[in-house]
Amino acid sequence: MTRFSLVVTDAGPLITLAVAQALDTLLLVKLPVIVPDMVRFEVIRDLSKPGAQEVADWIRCHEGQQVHVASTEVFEEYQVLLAANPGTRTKDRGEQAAAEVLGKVMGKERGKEPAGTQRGAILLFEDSGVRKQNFLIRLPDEVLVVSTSEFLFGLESAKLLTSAADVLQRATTLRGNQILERHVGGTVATAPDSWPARLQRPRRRVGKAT
Amino acid sequence: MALTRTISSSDAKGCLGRLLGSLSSEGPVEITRNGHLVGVLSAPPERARATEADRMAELAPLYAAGKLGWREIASDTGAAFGELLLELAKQGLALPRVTPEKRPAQAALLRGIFRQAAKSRSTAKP
Repeated sequence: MTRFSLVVTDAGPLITLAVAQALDTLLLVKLPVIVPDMVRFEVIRDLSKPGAQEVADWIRCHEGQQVHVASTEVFEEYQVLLAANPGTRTKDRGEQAAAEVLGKVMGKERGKEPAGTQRGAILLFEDSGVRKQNFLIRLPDEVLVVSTSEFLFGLESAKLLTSAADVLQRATTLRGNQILERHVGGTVATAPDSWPARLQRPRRRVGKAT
Repeated sequence: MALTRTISSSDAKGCLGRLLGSLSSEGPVEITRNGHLVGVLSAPPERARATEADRMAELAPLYAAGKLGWREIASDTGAAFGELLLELAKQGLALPRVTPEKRPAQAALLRGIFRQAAKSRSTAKP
């Protein structure tokens, strides 16, 4: 028997699902969801960015139940660097923290579990990020690299989600998406003329010509 | 160390085009009036040539087409992922889809995880 955890390796999946208002899909596989502290920091360091506040609220709501924020040395080191130079970028540290968390997850309580029990992990990546991760080489069979879209389509094929395509589409649809609408300087109803025509709501006629 | 060029404002008026053309190769020019420094003409910094928003507008189609990864965009623009989603939305572009390769054992494990979750959901229903 293998006990799996779902490790979110970067900000991309969290923000995508937040903007699509589908963060709870992460809970549907009934696995512990682990967010490295570095990844959480990357998401919530500027709450004014699209989706950041929603992720912060979601983590706060579920932390300690199915969602866990994992401490890492990568984040500790980053905090030291940040104190010395406030301009220090997070560059690739989210993935490094995920690699550190993976090591802990796979080695956790080894020897204390019932005979035949193994540890495993699903590493959830933003789709474009899944190709270029050095630490993914020669992962054991119990470590599964999954992109956000693959995860959603997996849920759909198991009938846990009605439509993965709808979720992905919602993440990049402006009209009717309150989270994205907030960030374009007004609502669709008051869309500036510079917006592409397809984003502008047809104007309703007021009154009736006589 | 390169010396900064200096030119009087009256001379600058007569050769402004040439001065502007030389900024990127020869560096900034100090402009004086009555012998006093009154301004400096310089090329814009590399990053400032295009605003962050313009840059994001350029890169979003490449990301949607799978030609550029988020990490490269983040390092180029310093933007947050949500801002990329916003740009994709403005341009009517979709997120790229990538399915990482798996060994048969891994693919079977993943299917098993989804199947197990579906099963536990159906047994939990009243």
